Amino acid sequence: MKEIVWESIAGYNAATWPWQIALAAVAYFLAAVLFFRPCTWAKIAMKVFMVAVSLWIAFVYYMTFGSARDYSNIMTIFWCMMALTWIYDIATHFSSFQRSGRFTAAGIVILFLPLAYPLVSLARGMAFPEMATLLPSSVALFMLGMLMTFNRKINFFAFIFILHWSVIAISKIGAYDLPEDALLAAACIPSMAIFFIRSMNNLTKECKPSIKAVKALILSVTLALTACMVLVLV
Amino acid sequence: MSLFIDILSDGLFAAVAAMGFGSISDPPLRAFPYIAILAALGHAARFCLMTLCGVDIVSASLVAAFIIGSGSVYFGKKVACPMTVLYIPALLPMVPGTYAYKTVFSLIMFFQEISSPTKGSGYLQEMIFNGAVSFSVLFMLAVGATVPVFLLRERANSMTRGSRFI
Amino acid sequence: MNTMTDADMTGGQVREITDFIAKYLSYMLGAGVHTSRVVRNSKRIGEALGVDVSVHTSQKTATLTVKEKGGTHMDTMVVDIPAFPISFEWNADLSALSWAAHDKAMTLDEIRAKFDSLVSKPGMNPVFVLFMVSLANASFCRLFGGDMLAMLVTFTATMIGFFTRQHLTKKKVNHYIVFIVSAFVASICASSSLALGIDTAEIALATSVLYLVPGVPLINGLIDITDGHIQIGISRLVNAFMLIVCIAIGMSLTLILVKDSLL
Repeated sequence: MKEIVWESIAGYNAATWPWQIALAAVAYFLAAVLFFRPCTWAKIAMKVFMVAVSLWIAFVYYMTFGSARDYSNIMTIFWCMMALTWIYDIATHFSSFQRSGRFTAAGIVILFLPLAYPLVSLARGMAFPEMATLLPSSVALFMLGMLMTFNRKINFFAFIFILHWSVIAISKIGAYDLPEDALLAAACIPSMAIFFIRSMNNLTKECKPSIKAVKALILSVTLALTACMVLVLV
Repeated sequence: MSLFIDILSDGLFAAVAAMGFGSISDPPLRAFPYIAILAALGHAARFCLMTLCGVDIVSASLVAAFIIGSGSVYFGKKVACPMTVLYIPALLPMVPGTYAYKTVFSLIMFFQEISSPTKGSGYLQEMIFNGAVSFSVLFMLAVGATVPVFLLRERANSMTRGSRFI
Repeated sequence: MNTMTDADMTGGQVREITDFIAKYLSYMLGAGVHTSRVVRNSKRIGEALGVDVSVHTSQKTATLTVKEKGGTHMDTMVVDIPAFPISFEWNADLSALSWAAHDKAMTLDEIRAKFDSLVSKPGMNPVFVLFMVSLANASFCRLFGGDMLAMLVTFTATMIGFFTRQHLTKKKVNHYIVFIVSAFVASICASSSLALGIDTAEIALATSVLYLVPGVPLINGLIDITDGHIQIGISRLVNAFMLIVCIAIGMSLTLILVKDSLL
């Protein structure tokens, strides 16, 4: 299984590396525009880009190059759902891609983590084309970085899908020998606590368990999830 | 020793499940600890009956539901909650989920294999088997928990009398 | 006409009592309280206010007749039962209110004020419920024999499914569609665990939709039937059954998509 996976990744990289570079360039260009000169067209363009890149993972990565892998059809469906969350976002203006002034630094760090994927691979002594590049996890990580940097009103659907993907990524670390994926989980779990605790602060009406209790629950679930993930890894 | 840990963790996870599923139905906060205790007791009792005594799942569920129902008579008076508020969430972890899933799954597979008589009827048989188990367990859960209401009608119907929580 | 004494009511008073009891019982039925309790509580409040109450209930409406004790005034009313989310808190509080009215001889105005304050109590925090339900489903997965990874997958799959359900419910989408969509979303996410090559992936798939099972209407329906309110009990069961069919439809979509992987 491990060999098939790495073969499919090598084939994917060898065939599509110009496209991958182009996608990455568009991604960081749009992120830069949103960061320095926020405007409506960039917001829409970023969401369209999110749809496009999700569909890219679904159809190019999994359906075309990963078709030799077991269950690649399920992954295709999953990434189509991810694209759907962003289409829904475009249709209903769910997220605003505006900075809130908090956690911007963390967001920028996460935003640049996908670039660390090939570097980690190189450091592990792997050579092109058999290395981690524009993989599903790095796409998920970029999306997470966008959500974290521009976190005034975020797309929770996309976030929970990314969270789900990080759980899947954890299992791949051992199975496919892909330690790069630990980056995603490491960024995702604290983000969960941050996003949900922040969403507590703009509750409009009074709710039953006190805000403090809910925050404690979120924190303890975060710790429990971390513990579970570490246990799965060792 | 390991059996003891099994029983304990069974009760613990049942308690978490009961509180979680219960929270959808907006129970009073004061009821949460008792829902957890009842669910843990009931589910652990069912686990013991099934693994130690070899009782089938339907009868074991009946006994467990009876325990939960009787417990809710006692705790209900304490927190001034009607019995249903305590025992319905506590019963939820015992809902036969895997059997229900297998019923649906076999039904789908039956449709897929409808032209092949041997495979198709195999799935149909499996569907009836799983469906019968899940329905019986569900029925026994409701019956087991309501029996204490019939036995102690006066007490069961005045749980919230003199409540200091309103 | 009978002779007027202090105990006698005017038609207007009976009407006011009827209005209140109608509201009281429609709120209780709407919040998913089983029928015999609602009837008993309504009669108890009537008792406290000096009237006889008879109730006939069905799934969407209820009829009640309020008759002055020992007098001639009476009033009949058909009320629509509003579709509130199930609330055990109302169940407990409104039951306690009926006892308080009975034991403390409260006046109608007092009861009404108390009622209004009870039904406007704050509800559950949606994020709290989201986390609790996800935890619950993960524990459920463990009870069915899932391993740690299956639990993690169930946790996040449930989170997606339940968040979808909360969001769609807030948008007032038809609840059958809500159930189909959330069951599909949750199960498709759980099915991604099949790709992980873990043994218990099917358990994660089976558990991921169980947070939707309408356990409260199911048990309420059976309680109603055992109490003799057979008609409304059956309608509750049919209602719950329709929701289960919706869950099955949502999950079947997933199963058909991934069934080759399950054999």
